Amino acid sequence: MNDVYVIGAGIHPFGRHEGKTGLDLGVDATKLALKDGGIEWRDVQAAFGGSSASGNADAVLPRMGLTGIQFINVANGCATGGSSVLSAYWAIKAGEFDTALAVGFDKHPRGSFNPDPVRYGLPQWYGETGMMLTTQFFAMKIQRYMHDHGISAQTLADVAAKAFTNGSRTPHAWRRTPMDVNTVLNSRMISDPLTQYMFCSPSEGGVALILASEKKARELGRTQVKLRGAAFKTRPEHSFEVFSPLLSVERGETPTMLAARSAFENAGVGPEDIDLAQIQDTESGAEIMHMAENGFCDDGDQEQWISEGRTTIGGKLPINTDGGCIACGEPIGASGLRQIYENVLQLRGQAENRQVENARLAYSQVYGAPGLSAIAILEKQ
Amino acid sequence: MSNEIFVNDQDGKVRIIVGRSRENGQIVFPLPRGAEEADYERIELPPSGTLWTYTVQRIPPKNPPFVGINSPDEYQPFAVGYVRLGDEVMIEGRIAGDPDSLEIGMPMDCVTISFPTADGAEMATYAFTPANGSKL
Repeated sequence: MNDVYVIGAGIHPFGRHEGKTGLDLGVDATKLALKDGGIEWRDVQAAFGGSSASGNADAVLPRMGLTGIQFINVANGCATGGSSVLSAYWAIKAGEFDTALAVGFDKHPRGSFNPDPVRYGLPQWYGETGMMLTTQFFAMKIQRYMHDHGISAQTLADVAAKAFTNGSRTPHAWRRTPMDVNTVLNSRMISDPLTQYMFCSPSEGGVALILASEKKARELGRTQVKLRGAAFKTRPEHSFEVFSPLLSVERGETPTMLAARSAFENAGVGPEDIDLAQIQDTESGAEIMHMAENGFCDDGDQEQWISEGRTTIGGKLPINTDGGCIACGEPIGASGLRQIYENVLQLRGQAENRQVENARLAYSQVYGAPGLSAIAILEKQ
Repeated sequence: MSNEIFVNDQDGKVRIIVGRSRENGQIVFPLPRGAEEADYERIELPPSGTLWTYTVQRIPPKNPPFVGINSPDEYQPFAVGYVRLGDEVMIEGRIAGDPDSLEIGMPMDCVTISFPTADGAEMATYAFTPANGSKL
């Protein structure tokens, strides 16, 4: 098995970009990642990419050059980006390739997603009556979690305010203006208990990463960041997931719990070893619940962790240092790759005024419909 | 919505229909139709239960897939929740009544509702409502 390194990282800033297609954002990010990695396009041997709303990711090929490269299009909901990088990781780890590209981009219309029930194997009436909304699922999951574990609305707002503070320091973030807790709490209620500014919004952006074997990384002099472990899991029985007309009374583990356990085992480290984390914050409640599902704290401890500022930059475990989905928005194909991009910058010491000091291990977790989670653990060499 | 989703009995009780797999005992909702239906035992759930979690859809869902009236000035927010019906499962559905009166754990009854659609028709569906005697 080969060790795998992230040798190049490129991003097109997230937000709204009039006059540019989703594909343009993906091509821009790919060029930046190649330049950052000191590698030519013709030397990339395999590619994995995804886009939910902007066409096929392999449409980057005519723009980059038709080199005959193996390109696999990836479609895995909100975890598409995470799935692309995992595919590249396994391809290199297995020794099939020395270099691989993971690319994701998207450009979504404004407002919430409106998926077709039939594509999820659900009856049409589920959508016709008004239940085919991811926002309802996130709201109902945190509503029950608050009831069971004593999380307050104040804590939901603290998470969003932290996201906007971190986003204000991040050149690739969409929302770059800090927002105080009261503004978050008093913004329009979208789906109780979640207000407008606790939710992320669909947005636009592109990210590309170049992965390489140890041999190739040494040859290029780019061994700063190693991809130490990764895992991907779909939902097990008894997990509460989006778009579920029926749930069993028995409650069980989530895909994130399974993936976290597997990633930590794969990397040979534990949650206590992690120095910073990017975790799925589709809304504030998701960040809170994912803190526990990833193993960073026990259920209910988040109230204390967050009030003490442990997840802010400078705290014990800074979370979503670039403002996460809440400040960056969510272009589905690119979102999981953005988390890894941010971790690469942090481990290289290139995160400027949001830099986490002395970070060695950086964690990322992306969650998507209909219930899957992808994790990557990076290590500074 | 067809009567394969729920039955509205003469006693005024609404019972949601689920299927129990003859192979592994797992319960599914809705009950599959067509050739697969033979693999499931048809079961009517109890007509009452308790509220496990809920939210309120404060902003209009997009059409498609939502067929109700969703223009910003006419839209009526509604609650959605999971109600535990019996010992094994919880069913997701719309909740009739005042969304601001809901509390986790409160007793709920299965009912039917009908709401106006954007094209001037009516759509009927099963729903839940706080049981008699609880606050509404």
